[in-house]
Amino acid sequence: MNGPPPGPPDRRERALLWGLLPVAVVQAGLFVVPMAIMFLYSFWSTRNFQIVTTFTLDNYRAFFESWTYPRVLLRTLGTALVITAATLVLAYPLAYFIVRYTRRCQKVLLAAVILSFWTSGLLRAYAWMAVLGHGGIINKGLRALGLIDAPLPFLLYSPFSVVLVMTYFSVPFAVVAIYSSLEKMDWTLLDAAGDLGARPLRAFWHVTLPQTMPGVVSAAALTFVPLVGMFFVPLLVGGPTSVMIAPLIANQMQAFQLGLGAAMSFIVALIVLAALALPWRYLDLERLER
Amino acid sequence: MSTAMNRRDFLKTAAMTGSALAAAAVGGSPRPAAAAGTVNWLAWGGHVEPQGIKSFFDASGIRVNHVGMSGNAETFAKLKLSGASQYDLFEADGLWPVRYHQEGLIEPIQLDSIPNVAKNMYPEFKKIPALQVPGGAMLMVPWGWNPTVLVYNKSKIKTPPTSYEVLLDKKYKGHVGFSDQHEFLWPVAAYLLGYDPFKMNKEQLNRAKDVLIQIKRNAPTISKGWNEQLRLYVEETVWIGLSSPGRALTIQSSGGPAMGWERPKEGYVGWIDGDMLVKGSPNRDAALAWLNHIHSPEYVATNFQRLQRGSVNRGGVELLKAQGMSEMVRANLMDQPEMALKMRLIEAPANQDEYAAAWNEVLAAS
Repeated sequence: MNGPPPGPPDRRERALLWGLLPVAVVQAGLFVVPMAIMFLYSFWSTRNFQIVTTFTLDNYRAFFESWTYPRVLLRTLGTALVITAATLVLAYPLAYFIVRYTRRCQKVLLAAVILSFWTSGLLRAYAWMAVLGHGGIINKGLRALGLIDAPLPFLLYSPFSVVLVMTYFSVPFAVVAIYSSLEKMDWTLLDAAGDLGARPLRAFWHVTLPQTMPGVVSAAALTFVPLVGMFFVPLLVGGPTSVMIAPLIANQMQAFQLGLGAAMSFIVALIVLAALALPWRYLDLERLER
Repeated sequence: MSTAMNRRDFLKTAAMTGSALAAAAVGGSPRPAAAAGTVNWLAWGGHVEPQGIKSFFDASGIRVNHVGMSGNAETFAKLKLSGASQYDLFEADGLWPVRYHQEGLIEPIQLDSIPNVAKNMYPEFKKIPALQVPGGAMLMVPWGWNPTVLVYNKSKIKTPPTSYEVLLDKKYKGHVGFSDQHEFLWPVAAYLLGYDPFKMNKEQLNRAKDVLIQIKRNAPTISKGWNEQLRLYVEETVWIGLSSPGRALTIQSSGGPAMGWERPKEGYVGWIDGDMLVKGSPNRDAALAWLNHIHSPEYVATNFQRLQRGSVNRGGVELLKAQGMSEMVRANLMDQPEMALKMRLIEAPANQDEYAAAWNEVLAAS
């Protein structure tokens, strides 16, 4: 055996452990216990509005036995990836602009970005429906201008509207995450890169982006994770043949199909956890932050 | 005075806030106190008239706590799991009261023991065989009713549709109404295939599922609730779908196009909803007093003028006519109670789990 045996924790370590207790309690109460309950339910079934507590793998089998549910899950993940990419593409330049070119009114602009959080998400989704609908501003405007005869069918209840509205919901989160990284950046490095002959795009690629990668990863996680579980937006603005996984899980629960609903939730939760773990596994964020 | 807060102060404040919130949450539960003079009413939001609750309180001192309810299956699952003792009255559609009675959750009511029901209700609704127990008591006090028929935009669909097949017609792609109310959609597929809507076996459900998926592909979206459906009809996104006759009038009066309605030749279902008395309710007398109040012509007229559907209450219907709303009465078949008993009432399938699983596959299908 190498090294001395571990001794009793000193007073400072004990204080630190006590300090972590509230966090541990919150984590256990709001994450571990619900996940454990869900995991348990995923091996139970329901019959005629009664929970049957006999262990079964039927729920997982039901999920994978036909292509129907995995296809919905893949569609959800694909949509979430597209929206995450669109969000980053929009949020990065916006955050960059705020940090780099608006020193005086930076806080005001940042407040403007997060202003939308002050209104209910449901209300904002309905507002988008009013904008994109057949009787909405865009269709009415285009008709009034004589540019179209019939409403544009892709504006609402389509993959387009899902991507548009969910991107709108995600951008403020991403801006805040990227902003915090950009704000800490050492801008003199960019000047140094320029002095050494790097063109702006090359300097951005080799200096700015690596330094702000922790913010980009956080923004991607903050965007992707809620998107996978997003319930009301796909329900309100999505089409009938592009249902996403969260409304489907909600429907299972409402119909008292708790076992299958729990199995689906658990599969989604595992994917989300993997999505969160991947960046930390493959990106050396600590090195990037140094 | 220092305004800084140390950790102890913070924890103390947080604990006090938590206690206050917990107390508020308990106070906000359906039964704030076990005091007499309270009725806990689990009911659809559309049945609630705040002014009616106030006038009842002013006259009787009985407070009515309304708790909003959602679908039949969801409510049944909830009450079966947690019991119904937190409520005094709750509601259901069609033949769902039979399931509640089988579970021993409700107490049948002699309708003529409630004065306003005895006096104002159409006799047809006092004795619905499927909802009656030996001795004549009813499992629920009926309230409203409606057949679910085809409603259509007259300017877009020139020939009145007489069959559910119109919902499958590709020329209406993107314009067919498809809601999340599967209780009313399964019958469409079942009637088209010649099955019993609420007694389909697994194989029949599979075929019916395929029909519903085809209809879904003709829809612009899966609509949630009547308000969204109304908007879709008014802005002419949806041209044809399932609804009740009176809603054709509602669509027009909301600024929408001229609408018509037809009974499909294959058959159709409908619902009669109403209130059930929880077995062993400690507020039984107060609950019956509230039922008496809502069956007054004034409450009924106010509510049905807003709801636009069939009413079981002759007194209320007569009052609406006297108020100059005969067209609305006719459009909603309010003066044709015999129609209600010709409908096939929606009911809980015995194999509810298979129906639920099949419906989920309908939703998930591309």
